[in-house]
Amino acid sequence: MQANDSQKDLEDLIARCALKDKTALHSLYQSSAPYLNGIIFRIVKNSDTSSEVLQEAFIQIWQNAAAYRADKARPLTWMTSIARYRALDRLEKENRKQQTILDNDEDTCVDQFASATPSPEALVSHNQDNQKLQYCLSQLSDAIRRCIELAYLQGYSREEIAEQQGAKVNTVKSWLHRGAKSLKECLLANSGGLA
Amino acid sequence: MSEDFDTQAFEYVSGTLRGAEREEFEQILAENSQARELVAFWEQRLMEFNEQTKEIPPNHSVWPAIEQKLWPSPAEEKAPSWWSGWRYWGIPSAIGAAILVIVLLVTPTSPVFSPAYVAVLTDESGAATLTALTADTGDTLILQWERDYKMVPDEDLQIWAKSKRDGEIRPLVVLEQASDSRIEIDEAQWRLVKDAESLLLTIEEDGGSPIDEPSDRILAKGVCVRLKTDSEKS
Repeated sequence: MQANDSQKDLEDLIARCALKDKTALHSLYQSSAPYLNGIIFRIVKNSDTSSEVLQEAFIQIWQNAAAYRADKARPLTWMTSIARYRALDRLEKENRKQQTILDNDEDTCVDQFASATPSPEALVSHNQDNQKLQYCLSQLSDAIRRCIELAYLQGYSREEIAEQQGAKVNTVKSWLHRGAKSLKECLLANSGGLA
Repeated sequence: MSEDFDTQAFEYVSGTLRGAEREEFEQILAENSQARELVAFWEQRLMEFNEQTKEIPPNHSVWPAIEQKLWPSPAEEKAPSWWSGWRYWGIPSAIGAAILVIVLLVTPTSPVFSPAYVAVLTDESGAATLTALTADTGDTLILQWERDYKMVPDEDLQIWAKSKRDGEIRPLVVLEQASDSRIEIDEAQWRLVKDAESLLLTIEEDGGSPIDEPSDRILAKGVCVRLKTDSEKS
């Protein structure tokens, strides 16, 4: 699902959900459930759990639709955040042990952003916001970048990142702190677009 | 403090803020707009991580399960409480609001009116009772009655706003008659509308509730929905 192609449609559907229009929720589900399911699955890594979390996410979307503010967040960002937080809640609830993660799966996900400075072709092919994020990630050290990717994309906790990276938990906390600071500075500095 | 919030917001969004830390930060989020803005910043920026997300069709059982949870068959429903019992807003409410918006926007004799917030107040059976609409200029409240209500002498109706910020219910306007009307509202009333999670319509004594609290004679209630203004659409 493209983030920009149906933003207005999604806003309208959310507004109709706020008015308790069941058909709007169904349309919202049909248009965004595969995308949100992909995000949830990447974090919970189990199709049954993913289905349950997706269900919880859409119930929350329905219940919170009246609170959605189009001037505060894009509709897909709002829905994605709900889906991710419910997936993280599920991990927390189940006090996830380090599950068996297929190396292939992990590499596929993380490697989307694991390369160093993006190629000129890649910069051209992605939208501007994506370019900025990739550029700013490429300015971070490998350890910090991977730490952020494992957290956001895979739902890793600090402890799991520490174990995966062979580092101490306090080191991971420091990486995240420094990563947030550097990333924000870079994103804001490039808010007018990359040269 | 700001930098602490920044890291916490980043960790909250990226998912490494867990357990008690996460719960504490969620409490901060409920009260602190700066923290909410930082979370919104990271949610939007890190969203780009998801651009290449591989879509996975959901299991066929998910949508029926959502329907079952949200709209259980009558036999499975629990007895409603006075507040949570208003659950049958459904299509009539949406249609009522839509009709009102359309009428207001297309009626040639009407002055230009750009709606900002709408609430369709329904009774406990789900029947639309009153539609309330405010202009984005923040100075007008338009009321359209969806069914007749016969006023009783020595009684007035009162509309209340339930705050989404603190959950408090505050008086918005007292109605001496149940008829379609345009009511001028002041800045304080406009703030109540903007902060309203829902509106409530009650029967009160003449002049409105003397204690600034709604009586238990509730006629209708409905969520307050913000509509996009013309300037936001363009």
